[in-house]
Amino acid sequence: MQNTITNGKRTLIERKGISAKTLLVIIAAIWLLAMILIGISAPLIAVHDYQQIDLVKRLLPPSWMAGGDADHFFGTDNLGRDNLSRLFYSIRLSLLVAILGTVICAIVGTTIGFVAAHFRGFVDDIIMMLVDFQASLPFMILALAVIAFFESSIVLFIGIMGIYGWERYARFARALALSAEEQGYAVAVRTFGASPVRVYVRHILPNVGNTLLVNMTLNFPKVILMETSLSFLGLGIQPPNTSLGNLVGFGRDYLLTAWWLTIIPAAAIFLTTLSMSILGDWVRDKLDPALK
Amino acid sequence: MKIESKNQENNILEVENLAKKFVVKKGKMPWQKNQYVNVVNGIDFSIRKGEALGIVGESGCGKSTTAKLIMDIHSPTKGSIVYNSQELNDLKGKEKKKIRKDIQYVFQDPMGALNPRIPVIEQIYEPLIIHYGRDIKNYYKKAVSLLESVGMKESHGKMYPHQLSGGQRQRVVLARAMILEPELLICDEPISALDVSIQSQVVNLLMKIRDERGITLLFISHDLSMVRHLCNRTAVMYMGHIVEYGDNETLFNNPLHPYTRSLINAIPVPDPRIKKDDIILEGEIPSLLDPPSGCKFHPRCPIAGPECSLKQPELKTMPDGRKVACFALKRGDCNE
Amino acid sequence: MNSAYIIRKIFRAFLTIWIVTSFVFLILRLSGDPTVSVLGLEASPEAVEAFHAKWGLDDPIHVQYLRFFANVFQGDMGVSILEGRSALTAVLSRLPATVSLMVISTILTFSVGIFFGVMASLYHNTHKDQIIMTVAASGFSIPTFVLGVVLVLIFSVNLGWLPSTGSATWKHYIMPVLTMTIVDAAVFARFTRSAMLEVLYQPYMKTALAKGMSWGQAVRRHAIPNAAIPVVTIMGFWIGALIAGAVIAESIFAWPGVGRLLVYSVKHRDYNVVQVIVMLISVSMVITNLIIDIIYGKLDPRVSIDRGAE
Repeated sequence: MQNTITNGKRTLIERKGISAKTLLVIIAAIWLLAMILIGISAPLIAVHDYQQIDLVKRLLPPSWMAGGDADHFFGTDNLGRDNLSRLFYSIRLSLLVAILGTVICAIVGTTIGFVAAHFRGFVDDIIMMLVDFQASLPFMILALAVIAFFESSIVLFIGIMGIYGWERYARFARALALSAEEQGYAVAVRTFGASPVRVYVRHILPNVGNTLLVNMTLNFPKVILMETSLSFLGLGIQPPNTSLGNLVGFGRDYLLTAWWLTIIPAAAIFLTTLSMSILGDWVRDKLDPALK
Repeated sequence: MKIESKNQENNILEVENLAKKFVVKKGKMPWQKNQYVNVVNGIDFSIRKGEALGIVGESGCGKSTTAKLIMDIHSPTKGSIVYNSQELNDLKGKEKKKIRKDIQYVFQDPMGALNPRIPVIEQIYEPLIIHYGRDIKNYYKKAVSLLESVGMKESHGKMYPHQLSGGQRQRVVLARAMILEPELLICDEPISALDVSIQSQVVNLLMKIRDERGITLLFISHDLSMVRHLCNRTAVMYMGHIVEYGDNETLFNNPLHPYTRSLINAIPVPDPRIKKDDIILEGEIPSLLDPPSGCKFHPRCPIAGPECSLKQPELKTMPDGRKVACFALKRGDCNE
Repeated sequence: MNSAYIIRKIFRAFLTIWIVTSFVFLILRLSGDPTVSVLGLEASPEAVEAFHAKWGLDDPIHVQYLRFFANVFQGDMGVSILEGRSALTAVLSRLPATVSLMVISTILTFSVGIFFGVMASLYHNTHKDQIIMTVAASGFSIPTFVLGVVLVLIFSVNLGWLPSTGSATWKHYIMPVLTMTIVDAAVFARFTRSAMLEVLYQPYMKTALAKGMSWGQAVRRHAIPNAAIPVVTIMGFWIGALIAGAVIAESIFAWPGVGRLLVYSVKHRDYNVVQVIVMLISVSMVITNLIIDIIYGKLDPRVSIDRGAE
């Protein structure tokens, strides 16, 4: 076991590591961009109606395999619906839910954190108690409980995703605001008679924005995972709408005969979350080395 | 609520029995008591319109806290602060906002007092937006003229605080404090964070502002020579109490309190033949967590008597008009 | 470590359980009148009235709230609509299957994750480190359910080695355990590595080497105990991941445990069972976190010492 800290080869390896890393970041960015473009233009690029049932052409394999149909690039599902079109629409909905969820959560969590920092005392205690509560109940269980008691709908589901991870934002925003409040600039604008909203939105938020942005990029893949997991269990997005999780969930029943039904959307999820994690790490290193 | 001024003099600010204690250790359990320190311990002073009052003392004596209490950055534990016959602690909402613009504050650390992410010119006119709404064009002009009056150029306005030098930042802070045309300017150690070479520039600028605009100054510093240079009256603080308070002429030429004497004694003098007082300050300031009994200064005082450790001496007016809090005066030890 | 620290933590734990219980009560009431979902839309007015009287639904809300609490603490959480027996019994009968799965996964996650994390840190910036971290990073991004499905595809469908559903033999354990372990082990490896790296660069490591300790001794005596402190803190989060992982794994492999019961009950709106499971999970998490806090206080003497002014 050698102490590699003082290893002379280190600089060389490091340099090589950095360039490989950069390449990885670029590939990840391209993949994400492609996903977003597909998501936006799904209605234009989907050749078939993704809900169009064609019982004659059920469970067709992808077009390059024996028995494939040139008209259905990724084949068809158990109801003869075009897999490629369904994939496009699933990417669209999964990304939409994840983006909305991430943004809502950032706003809600940050506001709660700022409120705790501003009022302190009693309000702060209650908010921190709720943060503890959230941390002591796995989010998936909480989401399942809410879904069990309420009628599942896209709006409710996005709402649930919009509180996934709020406690992290709240904790961050509170800690950052408390330290920013000690900074002279916040005290200074307050002595001019500025309202708390002005102090927080115009002065503190831009100064802590980087950390919150980093948290957003790190939270995004988690939201995708949560959404697809719940949809996979059949408790998230409900048919006829479709998300990547639904595709994997329905394909599972046909693993023996039609593996592509499962593997293609599964790969899409894996590559998207992986890309987002790579990009998130990169953003964190660029913007906020202290968070490492 | 209007309050009759107790003084015949034209006081802009009257502080009475002002005190502040901070929690240093919270009781962990509901039945455990919090531990406090008394940082400001019931002080009285007043500022006349147009004058410059200095507050001096070693770090931790409560002078900065006093300023922050007046600025409403901290709220006082007890006591009153009367500004132009209005009790500041009673004000709320719009009234408070209105009176706040008449009192402005210059921070010790100009880097911290400026938002690192906003160009300085926008920070200079921000108080105008807060009080009068949006009129950026006019505000910009006004901000530029202020920037020029503190010896900077319009081109500096677009810069961010980190692009300016320490002295320039403090000028920006001054310009920002002046934009609301305050009556009272509180300067909390405005030069101690600056290089010695630029300290005098800022002090000269302060004097220029005072003379040109007739602004009232409360100048807080640990530097006696600076206070002597800039102010007409001075209050000396020690561990949360004012120990001596009077016109600069009497106070600096003939200090009575042993603490004041030791401080003045410590000012470097260019001529070694000048006879210096014999009091030299020894030891450290006692901890605020465990303050001495009676007169807070007695453990370090060369002329302390038996009663000094029992009772806190009150601030008494001397025949020459100044006030001193020391038992030794009664004994005659202080009279020269 | 002082007793005030522990008392405060215990107080906090009770508070959290109270909030969880209130939360369950809240969503129960917010979701509307349970009469319809239990009796159906065509129930006779008499039946509805009887139901209301039986469950006290006409009482003021605070009476209902207090009764709810009383029932929870007596272990009376209603009847499972689907199984026709006490919801608590229904859940408890599934508990052993889930616990056995979790214990095995825990041991595996700890040993694999910590081993590879320490290895990667000791071979920092070499190929070994990079390989371990690349594998960990991809393990990190694989959704548990994708992993489970891929395992089924490989080992059951293609190779035919392992059964894909059920829990009869030891072979049945392999895939659920792997599904629950791989992602968490990757997280642990990553975190252990960064905790170790932090410690390896501390001055006390240089000092230890300078006074003649061997590298291996210094790592064992100084680096690992100090790196253990942050690793303990993430265990609280990891328990949550373990539970979520169990829900997914049990659903994929038709494992007769609590996780599968939860998904099934949510789908079929068996409220009482969902209630019991939510309470059970949060109580066990609160207790786990309490234990972790106490261990943490023992490991890091700074924690329980007063931090002074706020």
